[in-house]
Amino acid sequence: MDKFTDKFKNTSFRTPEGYFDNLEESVMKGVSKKEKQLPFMRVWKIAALSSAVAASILIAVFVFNTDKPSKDTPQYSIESNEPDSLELVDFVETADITDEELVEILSESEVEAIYESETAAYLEDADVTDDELNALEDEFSIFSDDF
Amino acid sequence: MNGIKSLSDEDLFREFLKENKSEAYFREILQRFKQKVYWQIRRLLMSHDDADEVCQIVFIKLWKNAEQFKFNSKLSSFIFRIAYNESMTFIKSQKRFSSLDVSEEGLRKLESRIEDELMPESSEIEKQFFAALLTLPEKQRLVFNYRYFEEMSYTDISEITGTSEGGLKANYHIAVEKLKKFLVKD
Repeated sequence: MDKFTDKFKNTSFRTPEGYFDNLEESVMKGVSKKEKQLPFMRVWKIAALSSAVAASILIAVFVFNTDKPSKDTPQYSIESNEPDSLELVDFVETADITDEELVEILSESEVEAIYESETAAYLEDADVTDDELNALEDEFSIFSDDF
Repeated sequence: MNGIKSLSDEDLFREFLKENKSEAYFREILQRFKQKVYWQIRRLLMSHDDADEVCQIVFIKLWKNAEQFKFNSKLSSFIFRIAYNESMTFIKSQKRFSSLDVSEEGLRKLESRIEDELMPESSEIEKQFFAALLTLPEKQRLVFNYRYFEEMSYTDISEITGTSEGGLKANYHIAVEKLKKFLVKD
């Protein structure tokens, strides 16, 4: 391989005057800045690590917690889990069961639900007259004011 | 402290560590290496501002990681290794160093960039040379710089870059051929 020309070895680049003296001071400033930052960084890192550990424990407790829902929790409401009122009405019609027995089975809220839910809406849509409704109420005494 | 100047680089560094990173010893290390490190970086990056930034990082990292030097190589290799790594990191972080345009127009742009960095009395051929140097891949450029400007042995360059001597020789050879082609073209 030919020896590459030495022509360019001494090419001069522009450099600010006094640069190398200033470089030393800049480096020493940078070094002392790093040294001052260290204690702070250590404290910060410890605090951050502790917070991360505490947060992880809380998350683990929350995720793996198997608390049962309370009584007030809506997912166990009658409307979503119990037979709807139409089904109840059908059952009442077909089942060999007395009104007294029926009242015993159904709670007060269930009785109210039967009236307030779809059956009432159905009756309205079905364009039932008051007389017809009264007749129905008589037949199914659970709708009567006595209860 | 008068004896500082007579210490070898490694003994100086040993004392620096022994004296809990004494500022006096570190300043002596700076005195000995700042120009070499600066020019290595400057010839690679061309821009003074870029070289200044990287150079400072190199010496700050030298201070911070001083304990990592195990005295199983030359101190100069350790320092130049830091300079090499930081230069590569800097280049990777700067988009303007990637995908250099080697077309005629691209080279003209590079030459104009070089003109701002060279002394006014620099010749056209010198501007062309350094513009051509910028078109080399970074590692090839570095190897060329170590060999051509610093006149380092392949063994020393291998210690810095971690590349085999054979690989370095090939790198240097390819770099020289490319630069010759550029210069002959003009």
